[in-house]
Amino acid sequence: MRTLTAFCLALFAGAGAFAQCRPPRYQAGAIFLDSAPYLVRSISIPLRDFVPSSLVCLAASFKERYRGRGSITVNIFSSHKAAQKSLFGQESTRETVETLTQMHARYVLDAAKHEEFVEIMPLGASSALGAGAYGFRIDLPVAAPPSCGLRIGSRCMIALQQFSYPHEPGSKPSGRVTLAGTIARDGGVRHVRAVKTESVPAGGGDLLAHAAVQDLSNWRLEPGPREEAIRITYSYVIDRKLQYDDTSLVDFALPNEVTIRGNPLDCQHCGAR
Amino acid sequence: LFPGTHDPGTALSSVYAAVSQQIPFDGLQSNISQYDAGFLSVADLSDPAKVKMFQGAPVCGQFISYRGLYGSVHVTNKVWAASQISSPDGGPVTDVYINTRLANGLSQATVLHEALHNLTGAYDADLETLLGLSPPDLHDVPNPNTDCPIGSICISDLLQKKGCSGPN
Repeated sequence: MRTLTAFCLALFAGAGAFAQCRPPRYQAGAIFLDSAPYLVRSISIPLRDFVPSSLVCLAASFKERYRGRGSITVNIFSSHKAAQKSLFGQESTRETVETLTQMHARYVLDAAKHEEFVEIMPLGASSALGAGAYGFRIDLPVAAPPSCGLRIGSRCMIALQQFSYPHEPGSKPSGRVTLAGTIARDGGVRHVRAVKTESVPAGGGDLLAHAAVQDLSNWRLEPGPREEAIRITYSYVIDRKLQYDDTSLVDFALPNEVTIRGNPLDCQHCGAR
Repeated sequence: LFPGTHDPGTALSSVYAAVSQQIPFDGLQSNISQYDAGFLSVADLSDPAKVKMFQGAPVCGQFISYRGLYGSVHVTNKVWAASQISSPDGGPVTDVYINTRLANGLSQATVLHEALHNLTGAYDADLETLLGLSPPDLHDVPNPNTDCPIGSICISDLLQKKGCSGPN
């Protein structure tokens, strides 16, 4: 019962172009500040609902529910556990970073600055590449249904994992891996397999293919009415101008290509950790 | 670390004074607000939303889950201590709140780390930058610049590796 009551159905109609929209169901998380004119709170919604139209509608429902508040921040997580956690510890810890990784959007209204927007963050709010990497901001109000940053066909990219250049002791290959798979109706990518692999040195192909399959299998796109085939090539490029660490740079040329540049540490000592 | 101070002796004296003047409190037993404890930076004291938020959260909420003014907040972070970094009432910045559940793991490096908070008024992220550490990452790939995993542990590890504190 308690779990059921924790589910809050936002019943408030949105304003403007989204007056008739139906906001996604959300689960209440921690409330950090709820004292006029301020609201700072966390909620969670299913990953499938991190699409621009749903989030804009959700923002409208919060604006209506907290009508008159001049400063609203709603942190939107894909995990209920993460939404319940404190975000404001003085010490930055691994747990804080991991929690923020599951924050894929936020709604901000700042009347004093005349700002109102939804920010969507496929990599989460904490990333070695910076908060909001590959994300995009939708300024509100919008006159038409908003578009998204990364997309394949008509489907927006909802969630990605932090990219990491594949390497193992004594081997940091470069090369290309072409993958084939299926985007399921729920937005998950299934049946991913490598159909072509080229690498330098030649023996590194399996490592690259494994990393590419793992990565694409973790993409989460907007749900759609039918399954769709996907064929995409991952290019792995060693870039010695980059600093030694696991922050890889990624260029998307969707729907056909992803290029990952990195300069991993020669991992002779990785086992020591 | 100390802008305008080029004399290593002066800087060392400041650090020595910060450590020796530290006043420890039992963080788990401290229910004053994080605002009253001075957990907000001087810059953030002029942000009314942050002030209200920190006024609504107890010091023990840095270490354990708590029920605040607006409901329950879960805390799963393993934090050894948290420090005063400003003084809303104008007093000295010397307080450090210890997570007494983890007191066995409290090290010299943590004491020094907390003293640097007192002294610089910086949050962890800013202190990391001051100490030349790179931003935290999510993977266990060693970073040759710091060779440490993340955040506050990074800072304490670095202080120990540089010989600024003993191993215990």
